[in-house]
Amino acid sequence: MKNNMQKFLLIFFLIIALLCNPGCNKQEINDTSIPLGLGIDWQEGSYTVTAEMAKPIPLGQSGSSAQDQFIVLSGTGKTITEAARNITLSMPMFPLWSHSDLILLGENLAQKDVALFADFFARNRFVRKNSPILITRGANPFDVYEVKTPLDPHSAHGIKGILQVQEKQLGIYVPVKFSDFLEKLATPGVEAVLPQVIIDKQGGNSLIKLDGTAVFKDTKLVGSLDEMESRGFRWMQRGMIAGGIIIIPSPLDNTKLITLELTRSKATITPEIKNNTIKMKIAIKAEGNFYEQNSTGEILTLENVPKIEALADQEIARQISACITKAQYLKSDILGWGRMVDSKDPKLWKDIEKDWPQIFAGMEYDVKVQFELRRTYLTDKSFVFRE
Amino acid sequence: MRFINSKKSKPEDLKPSEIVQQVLSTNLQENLDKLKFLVQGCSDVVIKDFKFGHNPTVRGIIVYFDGLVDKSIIELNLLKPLMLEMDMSNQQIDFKERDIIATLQEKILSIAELKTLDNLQELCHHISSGDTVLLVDGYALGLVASTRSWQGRPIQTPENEVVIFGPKEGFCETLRFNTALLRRRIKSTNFKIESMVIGRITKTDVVLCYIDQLAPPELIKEVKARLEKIDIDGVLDTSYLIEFIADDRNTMFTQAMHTEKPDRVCGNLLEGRLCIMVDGSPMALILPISFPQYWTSSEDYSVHYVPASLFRILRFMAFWVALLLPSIYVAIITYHHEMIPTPLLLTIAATRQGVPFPAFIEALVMDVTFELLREAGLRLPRAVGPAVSIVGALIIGDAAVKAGLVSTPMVVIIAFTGIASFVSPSYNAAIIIRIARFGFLIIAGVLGFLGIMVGLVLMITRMASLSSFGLPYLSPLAPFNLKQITDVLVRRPWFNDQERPYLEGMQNQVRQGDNHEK
Amino acid sequence: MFKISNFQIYCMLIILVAPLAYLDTPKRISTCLFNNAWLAAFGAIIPGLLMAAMFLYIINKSTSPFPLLLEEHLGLVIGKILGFIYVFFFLLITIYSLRLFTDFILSNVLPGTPISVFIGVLLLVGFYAIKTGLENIARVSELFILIGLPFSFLITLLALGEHHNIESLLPFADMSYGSFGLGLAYASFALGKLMPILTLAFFSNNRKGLGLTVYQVVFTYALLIGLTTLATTLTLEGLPTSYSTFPTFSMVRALRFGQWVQNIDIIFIGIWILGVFATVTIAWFMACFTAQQVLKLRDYRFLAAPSTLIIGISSLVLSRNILEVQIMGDIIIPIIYSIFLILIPMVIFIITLFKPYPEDHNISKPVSTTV
Repeated sequence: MKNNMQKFLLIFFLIIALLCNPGCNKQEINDTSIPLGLGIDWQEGSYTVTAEMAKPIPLGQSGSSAQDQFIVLSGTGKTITEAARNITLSMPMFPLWSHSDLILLGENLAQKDVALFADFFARNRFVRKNSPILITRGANPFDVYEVKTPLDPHSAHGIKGILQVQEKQLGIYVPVKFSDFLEKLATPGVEAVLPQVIIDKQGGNSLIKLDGTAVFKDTKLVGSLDEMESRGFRWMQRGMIAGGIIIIPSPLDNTKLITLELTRSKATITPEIKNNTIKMKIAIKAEGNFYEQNSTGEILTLENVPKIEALADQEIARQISACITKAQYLKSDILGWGRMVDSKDPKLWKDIEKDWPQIFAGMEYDVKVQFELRRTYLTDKSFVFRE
Repeated sequence: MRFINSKKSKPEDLKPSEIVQQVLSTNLQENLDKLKFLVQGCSDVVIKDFKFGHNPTVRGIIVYFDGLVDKSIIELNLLKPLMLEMDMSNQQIDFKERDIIATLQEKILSIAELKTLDNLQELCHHISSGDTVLLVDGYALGLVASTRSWQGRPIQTPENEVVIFGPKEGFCETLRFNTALLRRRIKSTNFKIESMVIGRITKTDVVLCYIDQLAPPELIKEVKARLEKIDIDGVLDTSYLIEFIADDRNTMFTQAMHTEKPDRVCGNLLEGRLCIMVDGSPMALILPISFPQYWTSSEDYSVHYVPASLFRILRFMAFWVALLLPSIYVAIITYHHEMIPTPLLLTIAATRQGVPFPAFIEALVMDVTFELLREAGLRLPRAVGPAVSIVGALIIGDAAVKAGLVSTPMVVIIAFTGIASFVSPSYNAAIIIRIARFGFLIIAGVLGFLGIMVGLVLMITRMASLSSFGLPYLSPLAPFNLKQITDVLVRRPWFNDQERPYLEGMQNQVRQGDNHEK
Repeated sequence: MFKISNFQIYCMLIILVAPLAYLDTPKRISTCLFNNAWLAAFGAIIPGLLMAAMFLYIINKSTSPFPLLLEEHLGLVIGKILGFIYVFFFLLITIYSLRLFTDFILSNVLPGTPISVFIGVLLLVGFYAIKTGLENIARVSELFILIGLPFSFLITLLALGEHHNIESLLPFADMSYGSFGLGLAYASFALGKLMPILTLAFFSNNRKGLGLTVYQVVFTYALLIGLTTLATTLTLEGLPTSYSTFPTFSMVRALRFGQWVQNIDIIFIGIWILGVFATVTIAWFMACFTAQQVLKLRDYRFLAAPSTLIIGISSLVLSRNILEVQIMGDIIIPIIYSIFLILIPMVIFIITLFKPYPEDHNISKPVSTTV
């Protein structure tokens, strides 16, 4: 009995001691703010960290959409950590950094050197490594976050949404996860790319828009791909891609256009090494559906389908060539061909690794596209309208 | 013998405890005096003095306690033959020569259960159990006629073990009815009901039921030995016993299962387990048991095995919810915010605006409130019950949320936890959950998820170290047994239930023939 | 005397071998082999099987469990001294496991909590388990394996399903023999912790089936570590894997089911705590048990209390920062482990080679009767 009493007292005091323990990372939600997106820029020797903080709207008031549901705050400092923590000079809430799920990279920093920030983000346990990362062009992250995206109350969430939806619908830009970006910076034989975001001012009304793909060489921003080149880049992604459209001229009438929808596409890229010359073989296998024609006429016949497929092949090949040409012009191996050579022939790669940008710029390649039209949706014949 | 007894001292000189030790004497008056001395102050005792038959030469008395006996039996089968029909001068029965007691037993009294006794202690025990005792002048023997009959609760559906499918009878407070319920289900003489008396004052009948050749003999011996060791003045409920005979007494994990359902008892007896029942309590104790059994309901065996298995899995999940949900919520909301999806976190943050308490205190207060309401609901008269639940749950809850004292998610969490804790088919298990939940809440408030895990490790270690009469408490899980684990998480189909759950020392584990072929 | 089943031995061995390796080994072999690290992990089957066979051979040729077994084969004096050193070695395993785990928790989950609170809480739990005895530790290990092993495989398979870029495993088998050897050594030295089988085997209720059990442990280990290494390489790519402090953890953090469930690392850690707790406890038990057998004490359970203090304080003063822990894990610990877990058993193995098999009835029980 006495023994039991002792045990009980021991446990009791243990609990009391634990309850009094002040050092734990206790953080009541009431005293926290929730950053949804992070931005980072570099100017005149100091960093600027921008955060979009969500303002939780109490129940019952959520209807009043006039109220902004977020605030954009920024801090500057000599290191990123200092800059980020300087935000709290003017904000009483503890920021839960681990909730931010978008990283915007300022153009200035990218032109200077992304290595300046990569270490911080890789080491920091609060950064979600799988959050998408974009680069801001012609504006700094602060301004971009300030712009409200239509319908979405939080712009960081909005930008993420835009990135995903456009890939499924239009199929131009490839979203890049931070971990992928980091991995490409670290791995030899491949260069990083990032989608670009700009502020589009139309008649006093600013909107956020994706425009082009930024191309890095080593850790510096060296140029960008335009829309068509970006499409070409997308075809050569690893793994399966799905969604997006292809516009080709109609086989019946050159002035009219046909829209095809891509359902799936897979690229097989293999280096062919002969007598110390490397040639890349690019084979694209794609499938799609007929989506629209802006003319009338009986186009979906057994004779025409191969023609459409051939035209689609041409269009895809053209986009791919455009992308490769631009990359070779920038001497930046964004396609990861160096890594493929490494995988195929590690010994050869060791010899040529130093001169790779030059070799890449002059490399030959061979594109083979095989597009197949599968379905035609609700009508299989086109309407012929009265003249 | 007789000589010594007749040279007795006056009853007034002795203490009742000494008188009770004495044997009966041949002198009826002396017996009567002693008896009267013993039952003085018992206003419900009836002592009737009478003379036998037509030739009233022999005196006799009957003693019984009013209210415990069936008076019509006494009047018709006892007094009527003795006083009216018996003819002492009948030539065929020579009373002078023969032992009257034996004659009464053999020829006269038409009562099924008759036996003799020769001391006052037995006499007292019998009359207070509802038997009637007949004493005849000139004989140091008494005749016990079983006339037990009293008003008790009839056999009803048990209130706290409700089933929709399956047998609905429940035990009542009378031991004999209860054993009859069991015997009716197991029509075998192998089904043994061993009786013993426990309780210095109450002299309560306790029975140990088992099926011979199924229950491990070692186990039976051990349980009997433990029961015999009990020295207590009164046993009013089965639960008294388990605290004496459990392997480990200082734990809230009860090591025997309480049930009110005879079909459940029989099911367990058929698995080689033992059952203890006590007169005056409708609760039967089943032992040994393992913890996972608390999540089985007797209904499982009446429903088709697929839904029964799904229900079991549901109950299993409800167990974890009831145990851990509030603490997980507190841990996440105070320590691991990154686990919550951002939109949900925004919603929670919005609802928590202005709530003055930390989440931990909030959860603790809400949980205590819930337990209060539950306890109040149990104790209240039926008519007031709904009113309290309305006031408590709806008005207080709603007002607390509206006043910003409590956040809505917390109310949802606590309510959900409450519902989940009602899912447990066993009240014992529900109590364990309710208590352990507070422990987890505190440790989660201090160390977050890590604390919950530490708590779980402690709880699992504690449970694994227990055993119920030699059966490890987490039995088919640890020690792991692949064959039997299937009968814990899911309900095995009857045709595939070839073996009984393993008990140490069990002799006959095969329970059915090969029923796989149709 | 009680017996423990072979499945319980399987669980205890897995729990000794796997949890720390799950966190640690992918990192170490990635540092040597980058994207071919998984080859070394699967390759660990061969040295693992050899080690297992060695231990089993020693068991078959011995009549008494581990610390007494030293005296049996090496002579009384050397055996006693060595047994005594082993007590400290097992304490070292306990201390190092505890410290590595605590550092991991503090650098990833709750950096603000004082390290003493963690160590205190974990020791409390372990102390209780030792107090209740080996039988209970076996049961608890069983439960933890039932929860933890499927969960670990589930996490790994989910990660494999989410990132199936086979190309990041290329180039295939591009490595030097030296680095492969080092990787293999790193991948397989954890299997040295199978050594406690030398003690546990004598509690088994089925000595004949023991061989299969130990081989199963080796295969499970190789499968788990191999798949995990594969998953981390696929998720993080070869090079970044070798950069991160705890790649398995980073892999779990990168998991995302649908758009909703994410950052489940704390659940992973929670499950993993179970394993680490058991690792610590079993190593601790070995220390107490060895001490009891060497010093011919009546019971080992009362040793739990004094050793708590030793372990607690030593794990606090073991090193000043995580870099020191890492360096210990890289160099000192593997050397010590391989001496005590592999080299000394190997010496015994060589000695036993020249001994006849013991008669069956000679197999003695451990000193204590109250085990």
